[in-house]
Amino acid sequence: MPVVKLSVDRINDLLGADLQLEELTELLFNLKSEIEEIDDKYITIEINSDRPDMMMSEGVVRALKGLLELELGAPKYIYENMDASLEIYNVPSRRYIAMGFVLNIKRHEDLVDELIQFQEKIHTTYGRNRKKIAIGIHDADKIDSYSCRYMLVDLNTEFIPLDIGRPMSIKEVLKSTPQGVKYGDLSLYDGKHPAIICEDEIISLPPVINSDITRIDYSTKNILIDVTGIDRELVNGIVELLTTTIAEGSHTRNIGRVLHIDKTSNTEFYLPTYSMSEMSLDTDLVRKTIGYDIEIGSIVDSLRKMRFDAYATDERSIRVYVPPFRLDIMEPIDLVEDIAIAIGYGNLEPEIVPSFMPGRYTNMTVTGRKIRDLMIGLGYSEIYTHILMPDYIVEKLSPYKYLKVLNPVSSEMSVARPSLILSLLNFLRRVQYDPKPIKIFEIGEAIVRGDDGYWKTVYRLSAALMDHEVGFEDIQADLYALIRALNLAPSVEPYSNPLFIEGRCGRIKVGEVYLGVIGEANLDILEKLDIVYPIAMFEIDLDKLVNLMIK
Amino acid sequence: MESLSQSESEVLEKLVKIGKGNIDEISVKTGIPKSTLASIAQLLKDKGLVKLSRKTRTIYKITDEGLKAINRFPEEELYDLLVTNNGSIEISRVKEILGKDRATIAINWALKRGIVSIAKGVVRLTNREKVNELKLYRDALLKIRDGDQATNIDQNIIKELLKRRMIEKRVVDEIIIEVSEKAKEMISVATRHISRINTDVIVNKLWKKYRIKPYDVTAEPPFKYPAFKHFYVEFLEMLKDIMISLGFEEISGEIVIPELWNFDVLFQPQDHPAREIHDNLLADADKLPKQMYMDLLKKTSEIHRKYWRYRFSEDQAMRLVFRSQTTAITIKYIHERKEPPVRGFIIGRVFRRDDISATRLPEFHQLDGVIMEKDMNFRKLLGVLKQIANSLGFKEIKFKPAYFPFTEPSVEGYVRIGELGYVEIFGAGLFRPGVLELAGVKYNVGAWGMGVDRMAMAYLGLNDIRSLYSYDLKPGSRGVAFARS
Repeated sequence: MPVVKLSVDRINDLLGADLQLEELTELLFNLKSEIEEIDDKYITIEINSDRPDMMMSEGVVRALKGLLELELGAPKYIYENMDASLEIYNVPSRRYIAMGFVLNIKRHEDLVDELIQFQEKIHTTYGRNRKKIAIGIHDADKIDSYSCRYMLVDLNTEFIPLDIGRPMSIKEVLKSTPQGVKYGDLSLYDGKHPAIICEDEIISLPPVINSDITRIDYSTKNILIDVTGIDRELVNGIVELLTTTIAEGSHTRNIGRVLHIDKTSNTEFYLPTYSMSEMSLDTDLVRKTIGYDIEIGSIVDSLRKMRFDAYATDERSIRVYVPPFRLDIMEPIDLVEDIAIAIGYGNLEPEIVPSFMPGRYTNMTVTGRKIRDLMIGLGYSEIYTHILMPDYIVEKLSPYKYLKVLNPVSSEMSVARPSLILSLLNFLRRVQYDPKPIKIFEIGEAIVRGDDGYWKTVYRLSAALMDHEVGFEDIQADLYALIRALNLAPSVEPYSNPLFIEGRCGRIKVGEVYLGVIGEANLDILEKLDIVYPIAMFEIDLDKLVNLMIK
Repeated sequence: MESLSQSESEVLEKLVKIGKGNIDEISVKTGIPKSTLASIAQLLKDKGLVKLSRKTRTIYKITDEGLKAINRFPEEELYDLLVTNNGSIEISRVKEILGKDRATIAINWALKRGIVSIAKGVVRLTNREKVNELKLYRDALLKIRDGDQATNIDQNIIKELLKRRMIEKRVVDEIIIEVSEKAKEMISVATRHISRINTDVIVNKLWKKYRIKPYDVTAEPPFKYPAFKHFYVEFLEMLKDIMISLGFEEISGEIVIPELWNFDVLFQPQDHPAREIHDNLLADADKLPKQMYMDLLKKTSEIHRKYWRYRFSEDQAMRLVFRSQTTAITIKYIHERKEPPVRGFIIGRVFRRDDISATRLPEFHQLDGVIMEKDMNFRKLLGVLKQIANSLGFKEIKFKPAYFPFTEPSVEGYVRIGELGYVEIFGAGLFRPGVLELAGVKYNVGAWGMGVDRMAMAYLGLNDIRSLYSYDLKPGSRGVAFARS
């Protein structure tokens, strides 16, 4: 989840109130956000990824004002059409763009940092690392003309990239700047790269880097935002999100529109629009979902506290207008959650639902418990290990096919065990000098390849006995004791398996069902594992055993 | 012999066989308790049959640290790490994996032994052979553990083991008994006696003819560990008991599953950050054939297109992953059980691409539950969470709004755990309409999940998640304090 660092001073300043930190913590907790760190100047909070509108102090304050009932309903901004235009040419690799202004922003020493943080958090979440959308933020007063074009340009074109301070060809930018190396491939098309050009000046090379000329700083008063990407609705949504959120910190709440001229479809339109989506909310859905008979009036109030416009249209339906910065609201159920948040989760009384059905364990749990008791009775200690094992152990030992992890974090946990015997041997390798005899067992899953070629999860029981000297019948006696205690009649027939010494290995059978293997561990394997004491062991297929017991 | 009492003559008889030795050794060898031996030796001395002298002697005892080292010395643990990391590893990683203190010990001793070298914060394996030197140290520890005193152990080894607190030194005062020539002459008769009692002794009534040799019951017995159920398995079983008592049916499912079940039916778009390759463990296996899920793929694809506006890849949906959430299993169960009432839960292993450390592992456990009632609602879901928390012994529970792709409304449950304060244990919510539509279910379904390992750590007072899966049979380290009630 995204973590953002916000200025306490800005929050209080924008809110026009002096909140105690405790109060702030509680309010934010109820808005899905948990404070991770706090000091006099900054709070670090975890914001849920569905609320990008809260990744900047302005957005947090907008939500707090609702909860504190300082402002209710959808916020209002003042829109004006600027003397600004953007011609959009065909950019197949990054088709969509939207631009907008925010004017008269309040200066603060932490503002630039928060803006950049806001931009970066959106890049990594909604932007899918700039692939889906990317944002450029510019000081509008440093641009001479707002007559702009979005188009593919030749890689030899030069401009001054941000933080570089000297002219560079686009080719060089892509090759030698960190941003170029990271994002340079995202939007290349036919040997060209998209750029935003105002008059004759490149102001941005989306999604890679801005021009140094439009750099924002403490003195920045008016801001121009560009959003480019491959999803039209998201591009438009993000420009609405950014302009409205930043405008909460404008003296006049002024947002400037840009005339967008789509050269491909020959259409013209102004953005941003602040167009609200309209939703009809059935009060029954609210009541049935939350579990209270809430009055329609208080549903409307709750929605207004959450910064929606809402009007009851008749006794059971409400018309809701969702401002465009709430990208997470997709359907009525999302409004229901906001109503619950407005009521406060802490105010919802949990309702106990009695069960009229008895609970039921799986047959595997029931059998597993019996077996565990019996194995303890036979003097075996239970061990519990991971399914993921070191490849260097499994590769060395496994006679079975096994499933590898394609992208392991460490070779220690890089293949799925096809047999619990491997886990026991790996365990014994590490405890071999413990007092003898060492008797261990494990019940758990293994991943095996079925006859149909698909990988399957199976349950196994495996046990091992290690001592100064060990014989086949030592472990066989314990196995037989176990199986007989489950009211089944075991037998063993000769078998051959590379994990065991040839001639000292058998297949375990109950009736006509083959249950598993038993034998003395192959000395070859002990040598490979640096084990110096002999081992006898068995493994049985618990799925089969459970079936036998049900019969 | 006439001047000796019965017990004096018995003792002397045995002393003559030994000749000379300290009182402890003699006590072990003869099976005569030290106190008896001391008092009788005094009497025999007065009769000129033995000579007594005193001196001090050093003995050694193994410590917990020593017991640990018997299986793996810290520098061997470091060596293991180096081998699996192709011979070099950053010091910071070692600290993360072994814990700070143990890492420092391991590195220092590995350096001292010449096993490794360090440059620029990286440990490098320089000499594999040197690890073998530890065999001598291990043998010494084994001898000391099994009560074999350090008479023939190299003093340098003893010194190091002491320094590393793997053994402890104790100085004991000892009495030396030496039998005189006169005594040897006196004892010439060998009398037969019984040591191990067997069936022959009983059936043939030999015990009536011969004396049964007494044992030194104060001597240390052979070292043993008892057989134990694994404490973490016991914890998992306790969780099952709680869920069963609340009327839930236990379910289970496959570990390696197509992304369709792990993500797609749970409303997570295919380019969702949580689905990226660096977050999940993928199976090195062929994709499943699409025919297996024709209808579901079609429906899922439509829903994704409607909500997320992108081209759904059926190929990606058929890719096999190690499940990253047990909700993948509970949702499948809901697809199969469309009519209320339904209550199901699973406790199972899940997999994420996290580094191995004290707080995270790539493989851990989750408990997931689902509840469907005709009139299921959010408050009832909070009621279920409260019941579970109470059953676990947590009296205070607090709810926080949350976000999960597949539930709305969503909630996180926090409980107060001693000094830790409020700790998040549940993620929960009502399944979204889209999720229910895919399952063909017409009723509200409450769902929740909890990370079991972290909860077990809080419950059992552990601060390293790896201790839930440690390679250790020593009772003290195995959570004996935890018993299922």
